[in-house]
Amino acid sequence: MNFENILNNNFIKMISPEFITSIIVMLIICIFSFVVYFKQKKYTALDEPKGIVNIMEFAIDTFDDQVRENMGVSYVHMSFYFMVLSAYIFLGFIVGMIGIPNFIYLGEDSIMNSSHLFASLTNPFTNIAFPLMIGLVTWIATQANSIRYSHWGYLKQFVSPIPLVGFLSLFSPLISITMRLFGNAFAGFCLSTIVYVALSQLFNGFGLLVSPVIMPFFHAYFDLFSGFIQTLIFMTLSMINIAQQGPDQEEQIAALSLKTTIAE
Amino acid sequence: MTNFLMMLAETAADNWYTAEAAKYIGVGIMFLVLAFVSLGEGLVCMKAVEGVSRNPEATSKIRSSMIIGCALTETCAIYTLVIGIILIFVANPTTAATAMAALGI
Repeated sequence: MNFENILNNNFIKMISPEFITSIIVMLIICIFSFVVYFKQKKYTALDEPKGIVNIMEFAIDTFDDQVRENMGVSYVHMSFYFMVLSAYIFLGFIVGMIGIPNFIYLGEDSIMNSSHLFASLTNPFTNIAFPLMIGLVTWIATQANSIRYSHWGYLKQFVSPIPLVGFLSLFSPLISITMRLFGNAFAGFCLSTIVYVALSQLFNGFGLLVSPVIMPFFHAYFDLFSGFIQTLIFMTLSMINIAQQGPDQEEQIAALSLKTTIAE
Repeated sequence: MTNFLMMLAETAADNWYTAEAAKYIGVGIMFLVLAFVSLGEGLVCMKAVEGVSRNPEATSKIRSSMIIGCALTETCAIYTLVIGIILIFVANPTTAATAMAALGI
């Protein structure tokens, strides 16, 4: 195969490096899920779990409690979506800090020039497409659930006093949730990059040897702390928005107990 | 084509330097207002600490509500930062002039 002709294509240069990071993060989540699945197959219902199955049981309990508290009892089946989503956001913030090298850089001289191997994968949320996509999933789920419980009268509140203002208030949760994640990721990326570039210009390139002294503070705040809090915020806001127009906690319990009595 | 765009840019302001200066002055005025964001976050934390002092048993719930409140308050500051970055690095008088010409101003 003629690799140079493939990589000099104009279309393949449009693939941004954050896309590769996103695919690698999802691969990590898939492999982890399969590992946990094959490990838990050996346990029966009465054994005490050890190791990674123990940790995943704790995680599942945490997410189930959060969903029950914020959304209600009848939405417990959606905790899977929130688990994968929070893992995706948190791993996306961290994968640059862990140090997986950027080995699929689709640039112009990516075969002859291997200096991209010294750079790590970029945070996928520095590209506005990725927060927009996960914000769209949450927003579509919100509208679908609201239309399901309030029927088409739900859309009347977005046209009522002044049509333009109401129409914009339909999209404001989407825009705010997108810009919050994008702004935090992009600000952290910009400030860390400025310090790295400044260090690389000192002492003819040897200034980067000082970076293990200064950079841990930047990575701890912008990647770990900021990523964790943005994950929490995204989860909580998604849960509250999706379940807002549905029935209350008491009405859900009443509906569920009515179904079980009919079944009996 | 580029000559036409340069003509449009020159009609939008005195010269390129005036437009760039106006850009930076606008960003500076925008960032002055971020003082109120910090005041707002201080109010959130003040009420959270007061709540903990009244009812120390509910500390973890109050703490998670405080963090959610802080992140929601920070959103406006982050909008301002993103608009500032776009103005400084991406916007230039040529794009503004072509946009105005397209709208018919």
